Parts: sequence; C-alpha cells; structure tokens
Amino acid sequence: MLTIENLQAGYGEKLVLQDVTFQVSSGELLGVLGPNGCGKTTLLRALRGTLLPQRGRVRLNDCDIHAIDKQSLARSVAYLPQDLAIELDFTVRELALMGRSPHLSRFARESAVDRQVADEAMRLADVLHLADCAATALSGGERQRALIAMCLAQQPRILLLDEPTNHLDLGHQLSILDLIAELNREKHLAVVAVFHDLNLAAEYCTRLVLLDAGRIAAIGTPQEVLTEETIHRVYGVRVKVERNALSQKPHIVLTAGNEGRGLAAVVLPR
Amino acid sequence: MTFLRHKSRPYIFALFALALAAACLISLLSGAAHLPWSEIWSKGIFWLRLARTSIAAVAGAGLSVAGVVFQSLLRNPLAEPYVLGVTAGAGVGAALAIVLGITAAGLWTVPGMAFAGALATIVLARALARTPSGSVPVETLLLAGVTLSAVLNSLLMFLVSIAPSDKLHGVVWWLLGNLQITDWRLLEIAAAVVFAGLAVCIVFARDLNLMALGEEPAAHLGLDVERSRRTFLLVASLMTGATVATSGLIGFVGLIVPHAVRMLVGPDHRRLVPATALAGATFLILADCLARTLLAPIEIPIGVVTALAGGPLFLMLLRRRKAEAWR
Repeated sequence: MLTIENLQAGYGEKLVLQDVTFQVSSGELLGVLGPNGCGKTTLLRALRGTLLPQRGRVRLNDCDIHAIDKQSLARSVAYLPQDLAIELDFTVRELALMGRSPHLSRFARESAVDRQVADEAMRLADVLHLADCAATALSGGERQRALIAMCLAQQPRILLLDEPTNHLDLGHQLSILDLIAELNREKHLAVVAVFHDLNLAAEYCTRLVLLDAGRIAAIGTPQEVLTEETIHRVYGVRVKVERNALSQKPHIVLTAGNEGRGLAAVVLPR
Repeated sequence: MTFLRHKSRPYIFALFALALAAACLISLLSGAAHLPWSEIWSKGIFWLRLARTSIAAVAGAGLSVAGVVFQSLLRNPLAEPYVLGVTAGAGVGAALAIVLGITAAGLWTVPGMAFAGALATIVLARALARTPSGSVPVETLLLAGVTLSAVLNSLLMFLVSIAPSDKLHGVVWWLLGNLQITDWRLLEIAAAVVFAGLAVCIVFARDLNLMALGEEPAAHLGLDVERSRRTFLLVASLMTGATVATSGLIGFVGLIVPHAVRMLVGPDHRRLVPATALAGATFLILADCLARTLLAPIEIPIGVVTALAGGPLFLMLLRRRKAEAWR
C-alpha cells in the first residue's frame, strides 16, 4: 500500500533519514521504534508527504505521494501528531466534523452523511458522550481519543500515529492501543505508529521497524527485531528478552543501574 | 459560556444585527451638542454624525475580523493587529504619505501605503520569529511584534516631529484614532476593502477553522496551507491598512470583540466571522459615543478609549494562559 524506496530526508543541511526502504501492506500494524532523535517523526512526516524527500520516494498504491492532490491524499491517510495542543475551545463534535474536510468540496457544508460518519468516528473512539464538551476541558486521554475520532472521520485507509500514548497513564495507554488494534483488525486499516515503549510495541504490532541514527537497524516481526543483541547495539543497554507467558510475544525485562553490565534481577510477568 | 452556540445561525445573526441597528440609532442621536432635531437637520450635523457612525462601523468590523484572522493563523487568542505591530506598520505607511504629501496613487495612496506597511510588518515579524526548523512560535512572534511596534512608533513620532505645522494637529489626532470624516471617498474605499475582506473570510471560514488547529494538522486534513496562509495574511493586512488609513491607530478592538463573540457563539469561524463583523461595528460605534459624550465638550480620542478597555483584558488573558500552562 505504502512503498518507501531509498528514502533520504532531512531539514536543510541536516540529514535525518538515509537508505530507508520498506513497505506497509494493508491490514498491518507496523511499529516504528528507535532512540530519541533517530528520525521516527521525520519518517512519519515523509510517509505523509509533509516532508519532501531529498532522495528516493514514497509511493501510495504506485503513485508518488507528492503527485497526489492534497485533498484526496487526506482521504487516504490520516495523521495523529504528537502533542497537538488545541488552543481554541472547539467541541469534540466540531473536531470530528473537521475530519470530514477532505470529503467536502470547497463551499459545501457538512451533510447528514458527514454528521453520521463523525458520530460513528466518535463512537468508535469512545468520545460520543463527550461530543459537546470543549476539547480544551478534556483530560489527556480523552483529548487523544477525540483527535483519533477526527482521524477516523477522515475514513482513511492508512493511519499514521506519532506516539499515540505519550503522556498517558497505563489504563489510557492500553485503551487507546486496544482501540487502534481493533480498528486495524475490523476495518483493515493499515497503521504505522511510533512507539517508545518496546513492550507495548511488541504486544500490539504485527511488524516492527527499528531505526538507529536515521537508518533501519532491524525490521521484521517483534521476535525478529527485539533481541538482546539488537537492543544493545541500538540503545546501548543490556536487557533480558523473555517471552510473555500470556501472549507469547517477546517481553523486555530491565533493572535499574545495570548500564549494560549484565542483569541483577529479573522480574517475570505472571 | 457559549450561550448561543447551539442556536441556529439566522437567530444569532438577527440578534447581532439588532444590536448594531440600536448602536447606530444611539450614535445618530447622541453628540456633544444638545440640539433640537430641526437644527441637527438644517446644519448638516446629521450627515456628520452619519459619516462618523459609518466610519466607526467600518473600522470596528475591519479591525475585529482582522483580529479573528490573526488569531486563527497564529493559534493564539492574544494575536491582534495592534499588538503584532501591524497597526503601527500601517500607521508608518500612511504617515509617510500624509506628512511627505505623497499622492502618487491619488486617493488610494494613503490606504495603499498603509496596506504595504501592514503587510511588511507581519511578514517581517514572522521572519524574525521563525525558528531554523521553520515553525513560528507564537510567543516569539508576539515579542517580535511588540518590539517592531515600539520601533515603528518612534518612527511615527519622528514623522510627526517633521510634519509641517499646519498638518500637525490633524496628524496627532489621526495617531490617536480619529473617526472624523476627512473625505467621503476615503470612507468608500475603506468600506469596499473591509467588505471584500469580510466576504473572503466568510467564504473561506472553514479553512480558518482548520488553520486554527495548526498548519501541519490543517495540511493533514487536505488544506493547501501555503496558499491559505498567504491569502489570509493579505486579507488581514488589507483590512488593517484600510482601517488605519481612514481612522488612524485604534488598538485592541481586534482583541476585545473576537474574545467576547467567541464566548457567545463558540470558535467555529462560520459563525464567528460574520458575528464578529457585526459586533465589531457595534462596539466601535458605542465606544465612539462614549468618547464624544463622556467629557463633552472635550472629545476623548477613540484609541484611548479602546486601549483603556483592551489593555487590561489583554493582560488578564495573558495571565490566565500562563496559569493554564503551569497547571
């Protein structure tokens, strides 16, 4: 669905991504991992076509993403940015309806169908009961779900998420990721999401891309990517990779103060 | 707080239009001179008052809608032509034309130069505040605007100091905000520009909603952000320029009116823009009534009235935002 070929991108003189090549197929939930500043957000912006690559290209169904007209691109791809602050007190419903913009012609107002789609998006994101609340008055988790509702109202086929669980507590992290996994399964939405937490990524993603200093350090299933050697090579820390007894996914176990010198204690999940 | 948010649009606009009509009536009936109607008619005072009311309406609507546009583009309810230095930029342009007696473009010279000054200031402020990664942090932009405003104001003072003495009184009054008529045709030009700008903002109101989310989120929703930003900066500068050319430097209208209207109808620009235009006209007409009658026969400059009302509001909003940021 999305093809990334020899992508090289950056800001001015500063090169952030080099030789990045991979594909995103429909219905997959791809996690993007890597240390701070390794180019995760830059990769996502390049996938969206916000950032013009210096070399290589990004194609959406065999069409160069920069050749696609802006509105129709917004009908295919939705993007949840990191820490989007809403300054004006738009309600959750007004935000969800803004997600319909790519489907509206210039002077059209939202039709009954658009309202229906927005309601459905709010229901899926579990914010329908907050529809008339100002987004500025919501908690972090609620606001993130309101913004996901805006993305869903776009009815995209690809969802790009930049740290969707940033700043959220454990309960909200899991509820948002469960929602995304469900959309991925039931609506066959392709999802590319940036993660910081390796264990969350391992649990939820079908495939992982691990970036290191702008290059792909590893790509594959969580089992293939999250190995003790790879994590040491990329993050410079020694961890133990166990297997989550419940999900059979890799589980990273770490302790304080080991700084790459072996493991003192291991806490296993029950 | 948004009392009228869920009411239908015709109902809201009828209310705002009614308020505007009432303000016009009050303005036509009030003045420093307590004269019987017959005299008001025969001495042409009525026409003076009508002209003055019209200028106040045009300037109030223009400055308020320009404020709404800047607030959307900069995603900050504190953005306003006066605070951003755009008004001072327009002032320098207009003062250059007035003091140096430039008439290259005939009657369009003063508004044209005011527009050029306004546009140059906002473009310069943006360029100064831009970070290497290309974003424009609002706080930096406000600081750049305030600083530019200070520099431009001293330029204005210089222009006043070299103004020929026969023009001095007029120029000073104009600096403080002057709604007295100098030329009907200038009013026609300003009205045409403000109405055209208002029309653009109403037609593209949905784009203002998206821009208020931020430029990248707006682009993610399919908006041509580059073109929208250019269009709206141009429109806001035109409206500010036209207003400054006819009525001088009037501050904080673009802050007070959108803030109040947003509390009434919510932030959706499809309601906000037309409601703000009507409310802005109403506000400045009433402020001018106060200016004319409060200390009659002395007339308080209108810019003084709006600054005394708007300055504290600006500081209050600033404090509230800081409190929120630290919570």
